Amino acid sequence: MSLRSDIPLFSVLIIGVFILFWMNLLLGDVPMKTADVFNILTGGVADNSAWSYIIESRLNRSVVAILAGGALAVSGLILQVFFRNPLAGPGVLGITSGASLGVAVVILGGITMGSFLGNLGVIMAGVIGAIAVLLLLIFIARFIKNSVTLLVAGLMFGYFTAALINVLFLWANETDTREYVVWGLGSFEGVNSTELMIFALLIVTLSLLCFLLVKPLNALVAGVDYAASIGINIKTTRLFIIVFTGILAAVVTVYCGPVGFIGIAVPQLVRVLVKSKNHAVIIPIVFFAGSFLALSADFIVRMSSNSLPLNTVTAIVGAPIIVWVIIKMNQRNVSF
Amino acid sequence: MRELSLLAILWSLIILNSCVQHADSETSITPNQLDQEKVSIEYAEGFDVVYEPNFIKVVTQSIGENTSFTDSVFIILDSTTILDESCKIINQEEIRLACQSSTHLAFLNELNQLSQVVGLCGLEYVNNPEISEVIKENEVIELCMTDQIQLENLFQCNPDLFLIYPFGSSQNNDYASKGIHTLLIAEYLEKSQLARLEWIKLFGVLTGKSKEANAYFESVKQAYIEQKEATVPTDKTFIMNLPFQDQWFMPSSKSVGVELIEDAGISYYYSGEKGTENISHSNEQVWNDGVSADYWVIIARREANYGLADLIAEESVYKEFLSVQNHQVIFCNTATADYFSKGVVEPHIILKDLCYATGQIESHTPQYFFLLE
Repeated sequence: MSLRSDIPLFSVLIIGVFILFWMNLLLGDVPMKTADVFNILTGGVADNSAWSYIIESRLNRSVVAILAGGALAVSGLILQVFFRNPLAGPGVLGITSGASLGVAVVILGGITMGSFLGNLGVIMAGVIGAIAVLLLLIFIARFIKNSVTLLVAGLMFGYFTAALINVLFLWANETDTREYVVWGLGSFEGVNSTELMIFALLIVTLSLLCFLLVKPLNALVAGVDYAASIGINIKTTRLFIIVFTGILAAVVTVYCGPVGFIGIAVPQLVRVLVKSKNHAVIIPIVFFAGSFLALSADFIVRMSSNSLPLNTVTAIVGAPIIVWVIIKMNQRNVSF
Repeated sequence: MRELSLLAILWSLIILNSCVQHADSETSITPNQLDQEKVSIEYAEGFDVVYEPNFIKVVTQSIGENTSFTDSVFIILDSTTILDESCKIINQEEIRLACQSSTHLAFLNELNQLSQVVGLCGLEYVNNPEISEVIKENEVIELCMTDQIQLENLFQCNPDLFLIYPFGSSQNNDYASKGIHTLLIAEYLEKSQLARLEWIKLFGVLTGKSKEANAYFESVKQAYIEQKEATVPTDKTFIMNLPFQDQWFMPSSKSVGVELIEDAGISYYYSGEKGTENISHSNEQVWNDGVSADYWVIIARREANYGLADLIAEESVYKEFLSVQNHQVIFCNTATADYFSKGVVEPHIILKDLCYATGQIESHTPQYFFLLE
């Protein structure tokens, strides 16, 4: 199939993301005229001095949603191809759990997210937790040849870190426990402009680096043996896959909490809709499909005055997609 | 309707007497028990004290529609009175109390009865040095690990009465089967500050200090009412609290805390919103409203020298708030002020703090609330 056949889908997604992005900027709990929003965006002054902060907040969380949704979806796609398992996602290698453990150590350890130090501490601890699990995985991967065994090892890391977090709950007070639980519900809000620069730089760089995996991914669809037979270095590919997807998932988790379902549901949905088998085409489509779902979910959260948790919305949207795709694949006897 | 009322009275009498069986022998009443001053309830809806010749019945009950419970304990005045096995009987003298809330300690402390406390949930949350010292000296046992009551610790301190919250009350049956008497305490459900304070009378009855409880309540009530009547209402408005993640949980306009602040002559910004539960607002909405609200009342746990600059560092939009620009942020630091415990028995001082912060009175030394600098 040619690239041309997927252009309509790609265009719809880009237009959809664009529309949702503007809706997120224009609509919210505080009604503002379109002219006021444009005025603020172009550096003008509004009647209410808080409005510029509100627009900045809407802009930041929309950009975060686009990047985080895209990153999770791409990460999920690569892992599903690599593990040849439709239920593989950014959380399966235990890296998300590692980030969660790092965050839990800080929050349940009593450093609040309200202060600048607390926020920085949360991000640093999350990164350290994720990198620790990542390094452990890379080390273990040297001794494990079977990808499924690596998947199981990742799941075990997840259980292990979850157990450690449960132990931390025992010493935490009510406020810290509540703070951690709320963080676990996921949110695209709260990333300031400075943090957004770092976040965007990391996500864009890593997403672009994922294009280095296009050739190996195209070959892996036909199986590991086939990929090896055409000269793909499986060991190196595996290392890059673990590192790229791991860091993508870790960065999103640290900033937004463990956001569920996007990483699993979007690649599956795109695989059903897309005609091309070339990952140079699939990766950007999956990225924008992830962005679209994340922005849609955040829009619903915002329209509920933030009373609905992000993960509740992604689950409501994502779970039926997964079930639908699995049934459809079963009917067509398709496998990864 | 009349028939229903009669039925209700009859039912109350049956309930009241169902526990009591009188022995045939002559009554034996302890003189000091007979001398006890009675308490009468003026504001509180969540408890009642029923005086009978041979016993006192202390009843606690739910307020409003959100919870539904009733509970009671009996204090026997006549040692020959025999009660049904299902009745919870306590002895005022040398009563050993276990408490699920540190708020209970504030009531007992005012009555000088802290020594009766043998177990407490959340020893580490007691930040009143005076109370903390006493419970440390008395080797009060910690009863809770996270939110769960540790039964072994409860058995170890062996209380005569365990004062508990009504939520999660299914556990009560468990306590009863293990021979531990409990009494449901829900002073926080009361609809006014003075009604909450009036629960000191219940603690007075339980510990045989009714006279002291009455005296304390009357003195605080007088001071509170005098201050409230001296306050001149203004058209200034206030918002409350700080966000939790993306959400601001503003108290209901009918909440006890809001009414206390309104008694200082300022109006709640969200007074038009209905309901009795906390109101959840998004950041956007409060940022929008904060620009026009005159005062910002914050009750939060922060470092001892927390100031306006620290507040702005938490979120830069705060510098646009009218209250911040006019230095009218009224702050209670729960790390240093025992607002949630001692504050319940000192509403008159809190009201004075607020009146001082809003310029209603000129001379006062704040103890709970002060203007952030």
